Amino acid sequence: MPVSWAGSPWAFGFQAALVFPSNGGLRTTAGTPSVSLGLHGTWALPKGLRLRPRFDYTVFAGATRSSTAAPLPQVLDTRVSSLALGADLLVPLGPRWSLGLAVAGVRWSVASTNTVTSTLGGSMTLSGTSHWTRLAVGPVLTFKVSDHIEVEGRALSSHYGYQNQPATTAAVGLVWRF
Amino acid sequence: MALVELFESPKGWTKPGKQVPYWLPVGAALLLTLACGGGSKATGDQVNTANQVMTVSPAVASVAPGQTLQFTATIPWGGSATWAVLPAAGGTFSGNGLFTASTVQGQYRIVAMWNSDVRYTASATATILPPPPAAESTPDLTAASGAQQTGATGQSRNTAVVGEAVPATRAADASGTLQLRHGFRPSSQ
Repeated sequence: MPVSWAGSPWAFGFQAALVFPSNGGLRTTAGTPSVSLGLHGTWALPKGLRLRPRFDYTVFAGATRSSTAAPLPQVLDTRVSSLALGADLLVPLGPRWSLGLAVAGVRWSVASTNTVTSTLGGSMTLSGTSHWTRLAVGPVLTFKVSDHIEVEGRALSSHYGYQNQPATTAAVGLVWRF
Repeated sequence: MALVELFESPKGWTKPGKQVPYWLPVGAALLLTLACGGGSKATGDQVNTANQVMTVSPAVASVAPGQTLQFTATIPWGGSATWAVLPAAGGTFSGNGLFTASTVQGQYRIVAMWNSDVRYTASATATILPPPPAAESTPDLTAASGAQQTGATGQSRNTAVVGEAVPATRAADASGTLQLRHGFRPSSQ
């Protein structure tokens, strides 16, 4: 029996994914891999198009970098997380495949603990969390396993930080439709 | 023509003359997105990048024991910093970068971390100078030359001057400029 999206124009569900920072800067700060969880709705449009508003919360693995260079050896612990609110527009490529574009507003958070040690003696430690809101855009590819389950791949490009460093991620996950 | 009609068949073509495989836009979009990520670049929020984005002035300072000196942290996006002197025996910080030197002479590191993002760090060097030596009294008094004279107002001029030599001392003013003092202090002062 062919799989079909026919029926109710609206459907709801949740998704989970493994997220991999794909640019060096984010990989240095966030570590790899990471887990993302979220909720979504799917609105069936004419011609088989689908609009999927969604919410995703991602917690990256965290990373520790250190330097022993004088005069100020340093240890820096960072943990990155993100809250994304956006939507995917999906175009069917056949009975099971869909290709689309994802657009989201992302609230990046970086919790840091910075410890510097002076070669003259003594050390200083300070902790804090910084936040930035940026746009994320990228392609989405989904494969429909059954009426309730899809496998999706997403590649999103965004930025974070006061110096607007690139933050590019690739994610592979499962989408459950209730 | 709707976009979906170009990709009806998993093999690509439903209409003659349109030889675009369905996987091409997928791959192009993926490559474009991943290419936009770019490589990593050194930024001021990474380890061992002190003084690359955030700076502290003065970068080098000499202070006398107990003297105060204002340090300033400059960062492109504004905001305040948390200050420390390492080791802590060098003195204390109060307010926004106002340093008060202790009486323990030596070289110290001044560190500032930006409060808006603690990954940004900058440092300076401060040297606390030794305290000036105590003044010594010497029996070798200096006497002014010339005979005594009394002026119209009754003031005495060219009288013998009694006092003590002031040993040379070296200290630093608020701007870090070294000052040298030496001379003679009359007993009346």
